Amino acid sequence: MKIRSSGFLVLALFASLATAAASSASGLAAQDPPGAAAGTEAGEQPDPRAQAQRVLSPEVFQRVDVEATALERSGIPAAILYRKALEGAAKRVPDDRLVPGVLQYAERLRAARTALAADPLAPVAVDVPLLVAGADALQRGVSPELLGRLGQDGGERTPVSVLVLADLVETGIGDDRALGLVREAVLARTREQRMLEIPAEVRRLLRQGRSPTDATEELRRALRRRGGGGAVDRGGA
Amino acid sequence: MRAMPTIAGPLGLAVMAMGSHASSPLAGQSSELVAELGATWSLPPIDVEGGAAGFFVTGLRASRWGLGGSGLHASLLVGRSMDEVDAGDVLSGEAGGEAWRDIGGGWSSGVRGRAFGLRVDAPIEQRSYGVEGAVLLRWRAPAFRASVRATGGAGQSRLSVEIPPSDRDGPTRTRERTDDLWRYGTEVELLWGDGPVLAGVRGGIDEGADGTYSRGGVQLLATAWLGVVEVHLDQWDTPAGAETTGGLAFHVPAGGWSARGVAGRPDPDPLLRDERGRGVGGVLVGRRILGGGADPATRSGRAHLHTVLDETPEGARVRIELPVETGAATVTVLGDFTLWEEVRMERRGDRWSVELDIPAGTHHYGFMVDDEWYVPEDAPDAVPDEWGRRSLILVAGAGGEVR
Repeated sequence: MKIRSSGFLVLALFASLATAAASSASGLAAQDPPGAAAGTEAGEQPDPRAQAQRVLSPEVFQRVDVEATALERSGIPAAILYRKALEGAAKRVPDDRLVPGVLQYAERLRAARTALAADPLAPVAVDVPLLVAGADALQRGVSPELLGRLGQDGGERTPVSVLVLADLVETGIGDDRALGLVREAVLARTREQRMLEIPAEVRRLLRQGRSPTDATEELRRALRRRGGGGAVDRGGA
Repeated sequence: MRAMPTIAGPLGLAVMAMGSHASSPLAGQSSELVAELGATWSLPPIDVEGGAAGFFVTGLRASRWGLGGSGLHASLLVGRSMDEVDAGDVLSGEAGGEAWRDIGGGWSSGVRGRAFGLRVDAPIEQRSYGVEGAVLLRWRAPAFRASVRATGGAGQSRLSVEIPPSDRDGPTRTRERTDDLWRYGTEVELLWGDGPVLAGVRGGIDEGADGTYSRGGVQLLATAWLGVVEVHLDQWDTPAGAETTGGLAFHVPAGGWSARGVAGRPDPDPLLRDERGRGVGGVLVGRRILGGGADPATRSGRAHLHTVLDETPEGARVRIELPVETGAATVTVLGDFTLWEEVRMERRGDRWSVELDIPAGTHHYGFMVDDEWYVPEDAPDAVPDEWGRRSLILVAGAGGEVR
């Protein structure tokens, strides 16, 4: 069969589209926010509540303020909720959806605190980064029960260990195996930046055809063998 | 009932080629060259005798999709009939692309174009080709998007069939028909949904060389870890009469592999005047030869978008980077650590980049690309927010051991 495709049409179209794409510059005007400019020191940030009052509509701010105050009375810093409201505003969520989302997040923070407090070894004071990581983990499919088990039987929970646990669960690793792997990393005193790479290692092994059981076991063995270095051989037998 | 050789098989090829970019607005940024192999088949028109015509198909598909739905794509498929007596080889190709520009207030304007060609060797020789362009206007709200487009195009279709002699000594005659085809029209599409599923309605009207084509229908788009699935059902009023079309298209990437396919009754196309069958279908399995990128199926190749440069218990100095993609004029980063105000990123080579001092804590962040919230599909450590979007997670002040 002779191929006589309309090659010049293809080329012409590519050329015209390239021109169109190149000329598509738009003038989005980003602000240089106080305390966080590119390549500069962060400096002092404005108070989240003051920022929320400035950015949100009065009605929305009032409802968020009421909930944040209630949250603070229960021991969870109100600033977390003002930040969530600012997040919604930045993402241009309409007011009628923004408030329910903020209230939903407040509930998840409470659920995370309950789950984390289920551990008798958990500190009494609220660890904000841990609490936020816990709320994220619940949102990503980690059960409150699993979140509670993370701190049991040795090993203190950290935001990173919660984050890694959530990532493993989201990848499809079963609860027990994910928990076992995170605990192994904790016991091996794995550096946190190294620990953050564990889910990627697991996914790489899965892509190479390992079962979730084999992948997690291989990582556990590597963690034991290397005392926290944790990396399996790149070639992956 | 007419008795004619089934030629609808190539239509499956055409549909496959045209479907190559169907999932692009949902697929995120990617750039790849894929070799494909599979089969396509079709049923003859309602009033034509005959069974399904099938083709073995192989070809190449290239695409480059950027942020905001801008990108280019091309595909070339060749097929060989499963039944050598019934039909010959076929060739189907398409190239096209689209470019979007944000114009503020949730509005974007865009242009889209494509060129296609279809060649069938037997039993009816067919040559069809055309070019088409469209101007588009899109409005996006958090759980709703609307688009309107004006389309125009032109093409030509030539059919040639050999007619057997009426008696043994008579000459074989060839009947040829060439149609100059054109179309112009408009279409409106409304989609609701802010998560993995979008549902919508659409309608439009086109003037073609042979009359008026109008349509109205519904569609469902779903994205999940498996990939993208599109289902639609449309009612048409065409110069040939009223008819219902519908079907399913999917694109499932998995690592370096992918599968895409269609099944259903294809839409009438004023630029592809043809004997459309009762239905077409096909499946192509692809293997990526070059490139990569967004891969909702396996989340493979995920790389963190931030690098910790220096870390203390009080916080960290972090470099945040986003690969440069087609059509992105401005990129900013925003998150808890900026109190959700945008910080400009600078273009450095093939990346948008910024360095920030971030206080210790668990932070959420993301990007505004040409004024639209953006988190790469394949980014690790992303969490769904309360409004159907995703945010990235960054833990600063995590330099020590887990205790």
